[in-house]
Amino acid sequence: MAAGKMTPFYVALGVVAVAGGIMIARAAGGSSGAPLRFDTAAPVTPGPRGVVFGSDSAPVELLEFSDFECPWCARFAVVQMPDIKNRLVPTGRLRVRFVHYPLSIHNKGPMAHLAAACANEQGRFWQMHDLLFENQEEWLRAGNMQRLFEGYAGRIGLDGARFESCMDERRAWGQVQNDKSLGDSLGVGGTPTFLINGRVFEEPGGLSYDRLRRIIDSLTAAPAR
Amino acid sequence: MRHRMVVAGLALVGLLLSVYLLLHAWGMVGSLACGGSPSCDRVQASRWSEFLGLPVALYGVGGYLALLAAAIAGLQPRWENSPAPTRLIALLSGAGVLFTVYLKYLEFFVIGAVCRWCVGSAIIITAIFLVSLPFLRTPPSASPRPTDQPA
Repeated sequence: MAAGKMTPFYVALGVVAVAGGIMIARAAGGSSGAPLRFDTAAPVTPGPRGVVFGSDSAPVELLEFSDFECPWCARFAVVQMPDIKNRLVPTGRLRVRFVHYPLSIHNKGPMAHLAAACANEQGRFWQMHDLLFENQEEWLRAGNMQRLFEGYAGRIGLDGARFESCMDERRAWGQVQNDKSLGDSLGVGGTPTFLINGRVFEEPGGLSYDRLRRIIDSLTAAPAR
Repeated sequence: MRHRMVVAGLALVGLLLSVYLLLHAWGMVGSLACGGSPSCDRVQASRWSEFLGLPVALYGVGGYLALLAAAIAGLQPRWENSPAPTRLIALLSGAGVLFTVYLKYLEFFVIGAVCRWCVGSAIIITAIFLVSLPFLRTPPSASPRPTDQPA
Protein backbone atom coordinates (compact mmCIF):
# COMPACT_ATOMS: atom_id res chain seq x y z
CA MET A 1 0.00 0.00 0.00
CA ALA A 2 1.36 3.44 -0.91
CA ALA A 3 2.86 5.34 1.98
CA GLY A 4 0.67 8.37 1.27
CA LYS A 5 -2.53 6.36 1.64
CA MET A 6 -1.42 5.23 5.07
CA THR A 7 -0.85 8.74 6.42
CA PRO A 8 -4.41 9.26 7.73
CA PHE A 9 -4.19 5.92 9.54
CA TYR A 10 -0.92 6.82 11.26
CA VAL A 11 -2.30 10.26 12.14
CA ALA A 12 -5.35 8.58 13.70
CA LEU A 13 -3.10 6.25 15.71
CA GLY A 14 -1.10 9.26 16.88
CA VAL A 15 -4.24 11.11 17.95
CA VAL A 16 -5.44 8.08 19.95
CA ALA A 17 -1.99 7.73 21.55
CA VAL A 18 -1.82 11.41 22.54
CA ALA A 19 -5.40 11.52 23.82
CA GLY A 20 -4.86 8.35 25.84
CA GLY A 21 -1.57 9.67 27.19
CA ILE A 22 -3.25 12.88 28.35
CA MET A 23 -6.01 10.93 30.09
CA ILE A 24 -3.47 8.73 31.86
CA ALA A 25 -1.38 11.74 32.88
CA ARG A 26 -4.49 13.34 34.37
CA ALA A 27 -5.27 10.18 36.29
CA ALA A 28 -1.71 10.05 37.58
CA GLY A 29 -2.01 13.69 38.59
CA GLY A 30 -4.24 12.96 41.52
CA SER A 31 -7.67 11.70 40.52
CA SER A 32 -8.79 9.91 43.62
CA GLY A 33 -11.65 7.90 42.11
CA ALA A 34 -13.94 5.82 44.23
CA PRO A 35 -12.91 4.99 47.78
CA LEU A 36 -11.98 1.41 48.47
CA ARG A 37 -14.89 -0.18 50.24
CA PHE A 38 -15.47 -3.83 50.62
CA ASP A 39 -18.81 -4.99 49.39
CA THR A 40 -18.93 -7.77 51.96
CA ALA A 41 -22.15 -7.18 53.84
CA ALA A 42 -20.97 -8.58 57.15
CA PRO A 43 -23.69 -8.42 59.79
CA VAL A 44 -23.25 -6.07 62.72
CA THR A 45 -23.37 -8.02 65.95
CA PRO A 46 -23.77 -6.82 69.52
CA GLY A 47 -21.00 -7.15 72.09
CA PRO A 48 -17.73 -5.51 72.98
CA ARG A 49 -16.00 -3.55 70.27
CA GLY A 50 -12.37 -2.89 69.54
CA VAL A 51 -9.15 -4.51 70.59
CA VAL A 52 -7.93 -4.05 74.15
CA PHE A 53 -4.39 -3.60 75.47
CA GLY A 54 -4.20 -3.81 79.25
CA SER A 55 -6.12 -5.22 82.14
CA ASP A 56 -9.92 -5.53 82.12
CA SER A 57 -9.88 -4.44 85.74
CA ALA A 58 -8.05 -1.16 85.06
CA PRO A 59 -10.15 1.74 86.38
CA VAL A 60 -9.53 3.97 83.37
CA GLU A 61 -10.19 3.11 79.73
CA LEU A 62 -8.83 5.12 76.85
CA LEU A 63 -10.93 4.32 73.79
CA GLU A 64 -9.64 5.52 70.44
CA PHE A 65 -11.61 5.62 67.21
CA SER A 66 -8.83 5.42 64.70
CA ASP A 67 -8.22 5.22 60.97
CA PHE A 68 -4.98 3.68 59.72
CA GLU A 69 -4.86 6.13 56.83
CA CYS A 70 -5.26 9.18 59.08
CA PRO A 71 -1.97 11.08 59.58
CA TRP A 72 -2.98 12.40 63.03
CA CYS A 73 -3.74 8.87 64.16
CA ALA A 74 -0.31 7.79 62.92
CA ARG A 75 1.34 10.63 64.80
CA PHE A 76 -0.44 9.66 68.00
CA ALA A 77 0.41 5.98 67.50
CA VAL A 78 4.08 6.64 66.82
CA VAL A 79 4.76 9.48 69.28
CA GLN A 80 2.42 8.96 72.25
CA MET A 81 1.32 5.36 72.19
CA PRO A 82 4.67 3.72 73.01
CA ASP A 83 4.89 5.65 76.29
CA ILE A 84 1.25 5.01 77.05
CA LYS A 85 1.60 1.27 76.46
CA ASN A 86 4.98 0.90 78.17
CA ARG A 87 4.58 3.27 81.12
CA LEU A 88 0.89 3.80 81.88
CA VAL A 89 -0.76 0.48 81.02
CA PRO A 90 1.68 -1.59 83.15
CA THR A 91 0.55 0.36 86.26
CA GLY A 92 -2.77 -1.45 85.99
CA ARG A 93 -4.66 1.85 86.02
CA LEU A 94 -5.25 2.11 82.29
CA ARG A 95 -6.31 -0.04 79.39
CA VAL A 96 -6.39 1.11 75.79
CA ARG A 97 -9.17 0.11 73.42
CA PHE A 98 -8.56 0.55 69.70
CA VAL A 99 -11.78 0.80 67.69
CA HIS A 100 -11.62 0.57 63.90
CA TYR A 101 -13.07 3.63 62.27
CA PRO A 102 -12.02 3.74 58.59
CA LEU A 103 -13.22 7.04 57.18
CA SER A 104 -15.18 6.87 53.95
CA ILE A 105 -13.01 9.61 52.41
CA HIS A 106 -9.98 7.34 52.53
CA ASN A 107 -9.22 4.92 49.71
CA LYS A 108 -6.66 2.58 51.16
CA GLY A 109 -7.45 2.56 54.86
CA PRO A 110 -10.01 -0.26 54.72
CA MET A 111 -7.41 -2.74 53.46
CA ALA A 112 -5.10 -1.75 56.33
CA HIS A 113 -7.93 -2.22 58.84
CA LEU A 114 -8.60 -5.64 57.36
CA ALA A 115 -4.90 -6.53 57.74
CA ALA A 116 -4.98 -5.46 61.40
CA ALA A 117 -8.17 -7.42 62.03
CA CYS A 118 -6.62 -10.47 60.37
CA ALA A 119 -3.56 -10.08 62.61
CA ASN A 120 -5.93 -9.91 65.55
CA GLU A 121 -7.24 -13.33 64.53
CA GLN A 122 -3.80 -14.62 65.53
CA GLY A 123 -3.45 -12.41 68.59
CA ARG A 124 -0.95 -9.98 67.02
CA PHE A 125 -3.15 -6.97 66.50
CA TRP A 126 -0.92 -4.48 68.28
CA GLN A 127 2.22 -5.55 66.44
CA MET A 128 0.40 -5.02 63.12
CA HIS A 129 -1.07 -1.76 64.45
CA ASP A 130 2.43 -0.46 65.13
CA LEU A 131 3.78 -1.56 61.74
CA LEU A 132 0.87 -0.06 59.84
CA PHE A 133 1.25 3.33 61.50
CA GLU A 134 5.05 3.35 61.37
CA ASN A 135 4.97 2.51 57.66
CA GLN A 136 1.89 4.48 56.71
CA GLU A 137 3.63 6.37 53.89
CA GLU A 138 5.00 3.15 52.43
CA TRP A 139 1.71 1.32 52.01
CA LEU A 140 -0.15 4.45 50.96
CA ARG A 141 2.22 4.67 47.99
CA ALA A 142 2.10 0.97 47.20
CA GLY A 143 0.01 -0.44 44.37
CA ASN A 144 -0.16 -3.97 45.73
CA MET A 145 -0.94 -3.37 49.39
CA GLN A 146 -1.88 -6.93 50.09
CA ARG A 147 1.57 -8.17 49.10
CA LEU A 148 3.09 -5.55 51.39
CA PHE A 149 0.83 -6.49 54.28
CA GLU A 150 1.76 -10.13 53.82
CA GLY A 151 5.35 -9.00 54.29
CA TYR A 152 4.37 -7.21 57.49
CA ALA A 153 2.60 -10.38 58.64
CA GLY A 154 5.84 -12.30 58.14
CA ARG A 155 7.80 -9.72 60.12
CA ILE A 156 5.55 -10.09 63.17
CA GLY A 157 5.51 -13.88 63.00
CA LEU A 158 2.00 -14.52 61.76
CA ASP A 159 1.02 -17.77 60.10
CA GLY A 160 1.28 -16.57 56.51
CA ALA A 161 -1.24 -18.96 54.97
CA ARG A 162 -3.85 -18.15 57.60
CA PHE A 163 -3.27 -14.42 57.22
CA GLU A 164 -3.51 -14.66 53.42
CA SER A 165 -6.75 -16.64 53.54
CA CYS A 166 -8.18 -14.12 56.00
CA MET A 167 -7.29 -11.28 53.64
CA ASP A 168 -8.54 -13.10 50.55
CA GLU A 169 -11.85 -14.05 52.13
CA ARG A 170 -12.26 -10.72 53.98
CA ARG A 171 -12.91 -12.98 56.95
CA ALA A 172 -12.20 -10.37 59.63
CA TRP A 173 -14.03 -7.55 57.90
CA GLY A 174 -17.04 -8.06 60.16
CA GLN A 175 -14.98 -6.89 63.14
CA VAL A 176 -14.10 -3.67 61.35
CA GLN A 177 -17.72 -3.09 60.39
CA ASN A 178 -18.83 -3.78 63.93
CA ASP A 179 -16.41 -1.21 65.27
CA LYS A 180 -17.37 1.30 62.62
CA SER A 181 -21.03 0.92 63.52
CA LEU A 182 -20.25 1.83 67.12
CA GLY A 183 -18.59 5.05 66.01
CA ASP A 184 -21.46 5.83 63.66
CA SER A 185 -23.99 5.32 66.43
CA LEU A 186 -22.04 7.74 68.66
CA GLY A 187 -21.73 10.31 65.90
CA VAL A 188 -17.96 10.16 65.59
CA GLY A 189 -17.04 12.74 62.98
CA GLY A 190 -13.32 12.31 62.57
CA THR A 191 -10.22 10.52 63.75
CA PRO A 192 -8.63 10.19 66.14
CA THR A 193 -11.54 10.53 68.54
CA PHE A 194 -10.76 9.67 72.16
CA LEU A 195 -13.10 8.66 74.93
CA ILE A 196 -11.77 8.42 78.47
CA ASN A 197 -14.09 6.35 80.63
CA GLY A 198 -16.83 7.05 78.14
CA ARG A 199 -16.36 10.83 77.97
CA VAL A 200 -15.12 12.46 74.82
CA PHE A 201 -11.71 14.06 75.19
CA GLU A 202 -11.82 17.40 73.40
CA GLU A 203 -8.95 19.62 74.44
CA PRO A 204 -6.83 21.80 72.23
CA GLY A 205 -3.43 20.32 71.54
CA GLY A 206 -4.71 16.78 71.50
CA LEU A 207 -3.99 13.92 73.83
CA SER A 208 -0.44 13.36 75.05
CA TYR A 209 1.19 10.97 77.48
CA ASP A 210 1.56 13.72 80.11
CA ARG A 211 -2.03 14.90 79.76
CA LEU A 212 -3.32 11.35 79.98
CA ARG A 213 -1.21 10.64 83.06
CA ARG A 214 -2.70 13.66 84.83
CA ILE A 215 -6.21 12.56 83.87
CA ILE A 216 -5.53 9.10 85.27
CA ASP A 217 -4.20 10.68 88.47
CA SER A 218 -7.35 12.71 88.83
CA LEU A 219 -9.58 9.69 88.24
CA THR A 220 -7.74 7.37 90.62
CA ALA A 221 -6.54 7.76 94.16
CA ALA A 222 -2.82 7.13 93.80
CA PRO A 223 -0.82 9.02 91.13
CA ALA A 224 0.51 7.02 88.21
CA ARG A 225 4.25 7.24 87.62
CA MET B 1 -4.00 -5.18 5.12
CA ARG B 2 -7.12 -3.81 6.71
CA HIS B 3 -7.17 -6.42 9.47
CA ARG B 4 -3.64 -5.36 10.48
CA MET B 5 -4.84 -1.77 10.74
CA VAL B 6 -7.65 -2.93 13.00
CA VAL B 7 -5.17 -4.92 15.10
CA ALA B 8 -2.86 -1.90 15.39
CA GLY B 9 -5.76 0.28 16.60
CA LEU B 10 -6.96 -2.29 19.12
CA ALA B 11 -3.41 -2.97 20.34
CA LEU B 12 -2.85 0.74 20.90
CA VAL B 13 -6.00 1.03 23.01
CA GLY B 14 -4.99 -2.10 24.94
CA LEU B 15 -1.53 -0.65 25.47
CA LEU B 16 -2.93 2.58 26.92
CA LEU B 17 -5.22 0.63 29.20
CA SER B 18 -2.36 -1.57 30.40
CA VAL B 19 -0.14 1.45 31.03
CA TYR B 20 -2.89 2.93 33.22
CA LEU B 21 -3.13 -0.28 35.25
CA LEU B 22 0.66 -0.55 35.47
CA LEU B 23 0.96 3.01 36.81
CA HIS B 24 -1.63 2.07 39.40
CA ALA B 25 0.35 -1.04 40.32
CA TRP B 26 3.44 1.11 40.78
CA GLY B 27 1.50 3.52 43.02
CA MET B 28 1.56 6.41 40.56
CA VAL B 29 -2.23 6.57 40.13
CA GLY B 30 -4.78 6.85 42.95
CA SER B 31 -7.84 4.66 43.04
CA LEU B 32 -8.86 3.35 39.63
CA ALA B 33 -11.81 5.06 38.00
CA CYS B 34 -14.38 2.31 38.35
CA GLY B 35 -17.78 3.98 38.18
CA GLY B 36 -18.12 4.14 41.95
CA SER B 37 -17.51 0.42 42.40
CA PRO B 38 -14.71 -0.86 44.65
CA SER B 39 -14.17 -3.89 42.41
CA CYS B 40 -11.23 -2.49 40.42
CA ASP B 41 -9.22 -1.60 43.52
CA ARG B 42 -10.14 -4.89 45.11
CA VAL B 43 -8.82 -6.84 42.13
CA GLN B 44 -5.72 -4.70 41.77
CA ALA B 45 -4.93 -4.83 45.48
CA SER B 46 -5.17 -8.61 45.58
CA ARG B 47 -2.08 -10.78 45.42
CA TRP B 48 -3.23 -12.10 42.05
CA SER B 49 -2.44 -8.72 40.55
CA GLU B 50 1.09 -10.10 40.23
CA PHE B 51 2.26 -13.05 38.14
CA LEU B 52 5.73 -14.54 38.63
CA GLY B 53 6.66 -11.55 40.76
CA LEU B 54 5.69 -8.93 38.20
CA PRO B 55 2.50 -6.86 37.90
CA VAL B 56 0.02 -8.50 35.54
CA ALA B 57 -0.34 -5.13 33.81
CA LEU B 58 3.34 -5.30 32.84
CA TYR B 59 2.62 -8.43 30.78
CA GLY B 60 -0.20 -6.51 29.17
CA VAL B 61 2.09 -3.61 28.27
CA GLY B 62 4.67 -6.00 26.78
CA GLY B 63 2.07 -8.03 24.89
CA TYR B 64 0.23 -5.08 23.40
CA LEU B 65 3.52 -3.43 22.43
CA ALA B 66 4.54 -6.59 20.57
CA LEU B 67 1.14 -6.79 18.87
CA LEU B 68 1.30 -3.12 17.86
CA ALA B 69 4.81 -3.60 16.47
CA ALA B 70 3.78 -6.73 14.54
CA ALA B 71 0.72 -5.04 13.08
CA ILE B 72 2.62 -1.92 12.00
CA ALA B 73 5.45 -4.04 10.59
CA GLY B 74 2.84 -5.98 8.62
CA LEU B 75 1.68 -2.75 7.04
CA GLN B 76 5.11 -1.97 5.62
CA PRO B 77 5.81 -2.80 1.93
CA ARG B 78 8.39 -5.42 2.90
CA TRP B 79 5.89 -7.46 4.92
CA GLU B 80 2.51 -6.56 3.49
CA ASN B 81 2.30 -9.70 1.31
CA SER B 82 3.71 -12.00 3.96
CA PRO B 83 1.46 -14.02 6.27
CA ALA B 84 4.16 -14.01 8.97
CA PRO B 85 2.99 -10.85 10.83
CA THR B 86 -0.57 -12.18 10.98
CA ARG B 87 0.66 -15.51 12.28
CA LEU B 88 2.71 -13.76 14.94
CA ILE B 89 -0.32 -11.66 15.90
CA ALA B 90 -2.48 -14.80 16.15
CA LEU B 91 0.16 -16.53 18.26
CA LEU B 92 0.62 -13.62 20.67
CA SER B 93 -3.08 -12.85 20.97
CA GLY B 94 -3.90 -16.56 21.38
CA ALA B 95 -1.52 -16.71 24.34
CA GLY B 96 -3.12 -13.51 25.61
CA VAL B 97 -6.59 -15.04 25.39
CA LEU B 98 -5.46 -18.08 27.40
CA PHE B 99 -3.92 -15.83 30.06
CA THR B 100 -7.12 -13.77 30.08
CA VAL B 101 -9.22 -16.89 30.70
CA TYR B 102 -7.03 -17.63 33.74
CA LEU B 103 -7.41 -14.05 35.01
CA LYS B 104 -11.19 -14.06 34.51
CA TYR B 105 -11.40 -17.31 36.45
CA LEU B 106 -9.56 -15.63 39.34
CA GLU B 107 -11.79 -12.57 39.23
CA PHE B 108 -15.07 -14.47 39.13
CA PHE B 109 -14.32 -17.47 41.33
CA VAL B 110 -11.44 -16.55 43.65
CA ILE B 111 -11.39 -12.79 44.23
CA GLY B 112 -15.13 -12.36 43.81
CA ALA B 113 -14.82 -9.00 42.08
CA VAL B 114 -14.56 -7.96 38.45
CA CYS B 115 -12.42 -5.08 37.27
CA ARG B 116 -13.94 -3.34 34.28
CA TRP B 117 -10.51 -2.33 32.97
CA CYS B 118 -9.52 -6.00 32.94
CA VAL B 119 -12.76 -6.85 31.14
CA GLY B 120 -11.90 -4.17 28.58
CA SER B 121 -8.51 -5.75 28.02
CA ALA B 122 -10.10 -9.19 27.72
CA ILE B 123 -12.44 -7.92 25.01
CA ILE B 124 -9.58 -6.26 23.13
CA ILE B 125 -7.26 -9.27 23.16
CA THR B 126 -10.11 -11.59 22.13
CA ALA B 127 -11.07 -9.25 19.28
CA ILE B 128 -7.46 -9.14 18.05
CA PHE B 129 -7.32 -12.93 18.06
CA LEU B 130 -10.61 -13.29 16.19
CA VAL B 131 -9.68 -10.63 13.65
CA SER B 132 -6.40 -12.38 12.85
CA LEU B 133 -7.85 -15.90 12.47
CA PRO B 134 -9.43 -15.66 8.99
CA PHE B 135 -6.15 -14.40 7.54
CA LEU B 136 -3.85 -17.04 8.99
CA ARG B 137 -3.62 -19.09 5.77
CA THR B 138 -4.27 -16.32 3.31
CA PRO B 139 -1.58 -13.78 2.44
CA PRO B 140 -3.08 -10.28 2.49
CA SER B 141 -2.56 -9.86 -1.29
CA ALA B 142 -4.70 -12.95 -1.92
CA SER B 143 -7.59 -11.69 0.17
CA PRO B 144 -10.99 -11.90 -1.49
CA ARG B 145 -11.47 -9.40 -4.29
CA PRO B 146 -14.15 -8.94 -6.98
CA THR B 147 -13.84 -11.54 -9.70
CA ASP B 148 -13.09 -10.45 -13.25
CA GLN B 149 -14.88 -13.33 -14.82
CA PRO B 150 -16.96 -12.41 -17.87
CA ALA B 151 -20.63 -12.08 -17.16
